[in-house]
Amino acid sequence: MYINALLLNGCFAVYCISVVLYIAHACLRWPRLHQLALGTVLLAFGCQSLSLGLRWFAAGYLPVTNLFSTLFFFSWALAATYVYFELRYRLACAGLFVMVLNLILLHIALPRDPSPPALIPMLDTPLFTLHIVFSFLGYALFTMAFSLAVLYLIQGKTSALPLPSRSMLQQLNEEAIFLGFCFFTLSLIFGSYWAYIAWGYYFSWNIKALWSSLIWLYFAGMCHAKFIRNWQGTGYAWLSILGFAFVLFTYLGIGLLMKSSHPLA
Amino acid sequence: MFRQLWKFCCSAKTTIILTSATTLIAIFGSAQIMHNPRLFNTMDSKPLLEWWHAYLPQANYYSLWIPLCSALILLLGLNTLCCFIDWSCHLSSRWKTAGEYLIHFGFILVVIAYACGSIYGMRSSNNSIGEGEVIAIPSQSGYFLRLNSFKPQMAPSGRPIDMLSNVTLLKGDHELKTTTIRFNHPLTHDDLIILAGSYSQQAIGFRCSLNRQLVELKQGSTHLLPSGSRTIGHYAILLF
Repeated sequence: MYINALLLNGCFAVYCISVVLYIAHACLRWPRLHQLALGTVLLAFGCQSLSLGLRWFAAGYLPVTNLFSTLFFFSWALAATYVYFELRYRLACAGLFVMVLNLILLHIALPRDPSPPALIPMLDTPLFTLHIVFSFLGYALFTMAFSLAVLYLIQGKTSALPLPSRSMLQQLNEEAIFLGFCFFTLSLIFGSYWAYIAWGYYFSWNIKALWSSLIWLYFAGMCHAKFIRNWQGTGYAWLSILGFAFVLFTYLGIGLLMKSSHPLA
Repeated sequence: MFRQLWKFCCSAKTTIILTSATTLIAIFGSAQIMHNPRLFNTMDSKPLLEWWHAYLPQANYYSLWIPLCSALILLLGLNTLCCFIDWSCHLSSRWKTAGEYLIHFGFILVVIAYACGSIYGMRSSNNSIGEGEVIAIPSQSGYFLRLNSFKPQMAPSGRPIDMLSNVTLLKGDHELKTTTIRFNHPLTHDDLIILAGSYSQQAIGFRCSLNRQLVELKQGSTHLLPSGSRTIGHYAILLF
């Protein structure tokens, strides 16, 4: 318990240091600072993964059943997504925006009770774990696409940040959307099958399920727009931002503002 | 003419228009669900077409988005099917996009399955059954369900968290399957899926004090009173 608290606060502190290093890199543009920032992100991600693993082991199931644990898992998925893009494409200062989003998620999560509640039998199935994991990976990639779209829009208008080229930001945005769409499709497949064995039907007419289908349709439309019509550029970036608004509403808005019979609302 | 029509049916532009229209209508629909929970909370209780017929008189324009949304999704399914057929006809030159078209095929199957389920499917709820009782399964001629035993599972707080029901599915007198159903473990037989929805308690008698002696009385039971008194006859079941 003590180790877990230490890891949770430790990863938050190290993410804070990485943000400071990214800001320093943006101002001073020393390559060594970027390497240090990446190193701290990897260290924080390692602490976060270890914390998640310990919590998983202690609870006996993937702890994603309350707001703290879903925010924490969302933050972990976002960090994993960022590490993938950073190691593969070297995003440099583009990472600053994602890391700030990650810090916001952790900042909201940390004051909440981290102890996982007892698992109710309804959620005691591997389908629930698969549904959640792919869902949050999809959310994280859509968040990544959102931050890349914002950077795409401000690239060229400011020289204060050493950002990747517009064409690279555009390519990464499209990749994030496509990967997010694939993961979200898997999440819906597992979620539907779980609904079938738990309630006897694949689709429930509750607001969360409806909005999840909307997100799928929306990003399916975006994938068609890109891969078949080759629509890209500023309009596509704005669509990514709107898509993220849908994601945010589905994840947090429905649970906090509305009543839904979805088990995870 | 036919070529142009086919091109329109396969077009990604049609897909984008249909997905955009469906998204907008579903957003409107979700607002209706939120503002009319009494009407829309019943949607899962029946297949879509049956629900719409049952609730149409009281639904008014609140539910018009449902057939509109369904029609758009059917058109989207048709558009995807045309696209898939067009791809299959040019498979030798387009085999590299097989992954994407696998998603197309999956979507077509989902739309067909949901449409069939909404038209020909059957859902029945509120079928009460007591321990040891047998009930006929609605709309499934010749099929019966027997509840052998029932045990609710309670959380430490006393809240019920699961229902363990040992049931037997019968076809006539022939036992097809016996299993214990609980959350995520339904009884399935071909297309039939049986789940426990809820449970309640029913009093089968009562206890009372007669001449300072605690007596349990059930329907049909008798109790001899001290000399000079009568035998108590039948009792009605008391429901709480």
